[in-house]
Amino acid sequence: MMLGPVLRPGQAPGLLPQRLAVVSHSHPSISKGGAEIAAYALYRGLRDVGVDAIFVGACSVADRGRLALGSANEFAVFVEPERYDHFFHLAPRGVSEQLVDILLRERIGLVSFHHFFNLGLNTLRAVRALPGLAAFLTLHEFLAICQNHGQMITRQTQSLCERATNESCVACFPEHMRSQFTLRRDTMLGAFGRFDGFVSPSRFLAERFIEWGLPPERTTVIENGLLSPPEAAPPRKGEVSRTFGFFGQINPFKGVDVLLDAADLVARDPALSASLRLRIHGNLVGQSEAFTKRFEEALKVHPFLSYAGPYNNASVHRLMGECDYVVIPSKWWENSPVVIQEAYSVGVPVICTGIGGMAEKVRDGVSGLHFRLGDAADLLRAMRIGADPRNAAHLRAGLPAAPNALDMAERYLAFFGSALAGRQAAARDAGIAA
Amino acid sequence: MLQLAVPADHHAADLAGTRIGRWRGAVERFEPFQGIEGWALALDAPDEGVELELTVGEDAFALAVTFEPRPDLAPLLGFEGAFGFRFGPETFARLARLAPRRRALPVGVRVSGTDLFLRAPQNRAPSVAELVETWQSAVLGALKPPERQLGRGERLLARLAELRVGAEALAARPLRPHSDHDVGQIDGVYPGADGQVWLVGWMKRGVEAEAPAVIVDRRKFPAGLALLRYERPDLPTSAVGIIGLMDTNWPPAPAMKEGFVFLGRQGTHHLRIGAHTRILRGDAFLAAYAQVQSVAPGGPAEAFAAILHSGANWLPGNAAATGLAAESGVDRLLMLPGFGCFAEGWAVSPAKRVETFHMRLGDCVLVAEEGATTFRPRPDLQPVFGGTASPVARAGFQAVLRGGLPVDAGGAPLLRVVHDDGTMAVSRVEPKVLRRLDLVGDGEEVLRLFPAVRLEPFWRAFLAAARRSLAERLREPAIQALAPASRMLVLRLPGEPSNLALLFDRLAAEADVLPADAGIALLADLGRGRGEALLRFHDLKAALPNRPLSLLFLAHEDDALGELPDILSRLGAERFVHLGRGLVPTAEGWAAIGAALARRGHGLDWLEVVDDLGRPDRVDGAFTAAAFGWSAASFLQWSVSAPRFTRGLHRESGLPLNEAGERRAPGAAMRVERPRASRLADMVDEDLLAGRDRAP
Repeated sequence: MMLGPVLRPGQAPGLLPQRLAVVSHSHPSISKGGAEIAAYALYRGLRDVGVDAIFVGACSVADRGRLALGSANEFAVFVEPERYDHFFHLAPRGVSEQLVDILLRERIGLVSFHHFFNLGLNTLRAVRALPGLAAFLTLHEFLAICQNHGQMITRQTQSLCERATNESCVACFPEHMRSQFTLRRDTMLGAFGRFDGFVSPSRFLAERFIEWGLPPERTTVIENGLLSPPEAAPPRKGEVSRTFGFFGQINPFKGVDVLLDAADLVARDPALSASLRLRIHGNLVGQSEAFTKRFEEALKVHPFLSYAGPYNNASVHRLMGECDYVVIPSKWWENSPVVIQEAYSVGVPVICTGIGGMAEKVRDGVSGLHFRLGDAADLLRAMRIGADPRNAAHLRAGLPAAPNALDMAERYLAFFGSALAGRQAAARDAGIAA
Repeated sequence: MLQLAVPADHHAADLAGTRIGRWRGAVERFEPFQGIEGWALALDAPDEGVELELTVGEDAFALAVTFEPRPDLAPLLGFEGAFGFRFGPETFARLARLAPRRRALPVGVRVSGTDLFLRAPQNRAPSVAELVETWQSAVLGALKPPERQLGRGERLLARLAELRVGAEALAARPLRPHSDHDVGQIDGVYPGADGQVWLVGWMKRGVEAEAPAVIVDRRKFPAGLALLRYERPDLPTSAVGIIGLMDTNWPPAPAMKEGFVFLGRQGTHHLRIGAHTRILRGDAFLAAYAQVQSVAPGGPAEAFAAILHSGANWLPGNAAATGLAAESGVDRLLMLPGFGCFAEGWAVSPAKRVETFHMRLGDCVLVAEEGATTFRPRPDLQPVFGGTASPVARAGFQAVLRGGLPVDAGGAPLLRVVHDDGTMAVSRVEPKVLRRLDLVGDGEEVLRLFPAVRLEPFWRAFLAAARRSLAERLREPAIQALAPASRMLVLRLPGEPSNLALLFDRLAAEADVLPADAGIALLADLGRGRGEALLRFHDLKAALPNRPLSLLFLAHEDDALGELPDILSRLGAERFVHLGRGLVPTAEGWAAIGAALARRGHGLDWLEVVDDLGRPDRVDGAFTAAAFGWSAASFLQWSVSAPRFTRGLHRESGLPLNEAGERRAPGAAMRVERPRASRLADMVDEDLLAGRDRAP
């Protein structure tokens, strides 16, 4: 695995093509998931550093009306979701035809894929087969490894899955045969195999993929850059109470139930409940009736708990700046949650579950605090520690800088360059040997 | 001492006497229910009892002394005495318990203390085995119910047949209807079972109840006629209502024209038929009969009722019309043409014991196989039948109704419940209950009815019918696109959309390894994947523009080994590779397919199916008819005698394994779908493959 690839002087000019394409499984005007935002940030960053890049998003035909292509450099390929195969991730031929057509028409020399969903592995193969085209793939979660929405948690018990094997996958999906999982993996690796390089936003994710079969020599870790970093960190308020904020989708994987459990514990301590605020931001949609009922009752019972509703990217920094800590109680591994970078960018430490991508991005006791997965009492312990003004100051001092789109683009260019240089050297060596 | 004149027939040569005396006697019979009987006397002391031993071989087995007066011997002996002896019937049971090694020994009667044996019947001492067999037969025979006597209905039918013969002569004579001899009219006729026509009408009193008759309806039809008369308040006192039964081959026309039924040996009187005479439906006739039944008791009414109950009758509701409480229903009816039906249902006849069942489907009559008919309690019916347990104690039944059921058997099924006294009750079966047996899908239902179905007496017949049914299932596939080629990969597409997508993706990516002129024929079914198959085939044609690509649709969702000869012929294939449903070639498999297609000659190529770890598939088999290559000519020859299977193929399906010249490609394919699971289908396929449907 290549860590922190550095473009050596003289490598890039002759290697990197004139035009690059960032191809994502969606477009930010349709969906604001972490992966498509990261892809779009790369596109913007590349253009900001002077690279002639285009952005291609794969969108459902049904979303044509909502699609807003920001410039002449943005394109869309349209997908029929009904015909997309969600197990082997194969798209109808039309998707690859559309994308190949755009890439050829726009004279693209390098493609940076962000995710393969909607596009299909056959599309990745078709693009990779274009002569003279370099191709890279950024992995954003575990979908290639895990059929359960790429979350590496078991389908029935929602517990963490340590390793995808045919046995464990069939336990989650008894409707499938073991050989189907073998073929699924073969299909994935078959499509990935010819790529020039792979990027992971976290070391954790990269290690999982390397263990799964990705070539380590072609894999690197590049942190996602923020698309819209704040102009400056807002000044701290002199409040006596501490505010702990949750930002994200309110669903079972994100661990809001752990937060509610912690609120029940806080309520038993009148002094603590008087000195802290728990504020939940996010979209409460599609939850079970039991969860929604519990959520609403908790809001009524606990005066220190409040629900601030959904938020948008424009307001996230302001809202985070009003918090002393951002809490991420996720019950799945996470990869590289953008919430962490957003918190860092406004000078707010993070209290998170000490697993996976969260544990990697938040250094315990340096830029935030860890607590045990699903353990509300341990979360409360971390909150008590964080409530101490001295600890809060210490953690704020330990926050790393959050990369922006420009940083991200430069690192990607460095990786592209070094990977292509390596390929060129290998070809040269092969020619000499021949 | 008195000298006795003993007839020579009653002594044996060995009874000439000994130093201690002289004896005479004989064993007269070995009778299982009486015992072993005969007589004996000591000539020197005729008034004394003779001690006798029943012997098995040389060993004494039982003792007896003469005791019974035998006056019947006096004429022979010249005097009377108690010379008779008997070893009781229990002796046979004791003989039956003897060790097998003693079965061959002779059984005789010996004078105690001597070596003199009484003469046996036919001068031959029976063996233990013979006596035991005789005894067992007699006991078993005694346990059987007595032969049923002819019933009233059968006697009436016999008389009607005689009367019909008598009417032949009457039919040969000119018959003219004189108005003075008009004795009544027929208002309705109901064509019953074969040769039976029921009449409803009225007539004057005084006409005989059973008579020869001739129906004149455009032409003459001789008949035997019996009449059941009853009082009808709407008629004048000189007339009575009649229900009649004729034994005749008269086919009443739907629209009657004027005609006559001449009665009596001279044909003097007649009943009128005409436009007023209606053809009655079964239920209308039974409604009329039910009214008569209540006012016309006695022998003739019982005889009529018995005919309505008889085996020739398929009148639904016949039991209720004749006052018999019998109800039945069928909950499950699975039919297999050429075999019959598996039936589950209930039958309650509180006054009679249900013995067996018949069923009529169209023109086909099915009879329950007695050895495979089971009864069980149906407590759920108890509230309907008086709340007591006994009527429903064996109300539930499961049966195999056997008969040469044609494929096109139609019409509402009728169930006939047969009682132990021969009466029968017919009821309709809900037409929707009748289902064509799906050997795969309905397997568990059959096994629930008959868990040991493979050991049942009907299994061989069932297998034979299954074989015929599977052979008849073959249909020509519908051709969507046909691109002939001499080398052909024939690929049965999977059913799941994901697997379909995978296979098409692999085809597009790997087809280059096949010989350039090789075609690909895809077999899809008309299930939910049909549309997707069409779309992806269109995509594939775009991806492989120079490859001969064919798409055919099958009428079923199974493998198509049976249809393959026809398909290969249409495609003009000389060498082919067949990949069954749910198989996806591995990278090695594509190369092996290419090699198999490129091969010359008639050798078989087996493509190994492996599991997810690359080991031979031990669930459905590694080398099977699901993945092989062959020459079309050899395959066609093999197909002539090849069995068909419930899911299209079964393991190697009888293809020649381990033949000279065969090649085996390891790790060639993986399964993404398995054949539909069915225990019954597995049994059928396995036994068809082994040829167990044929007589040994």
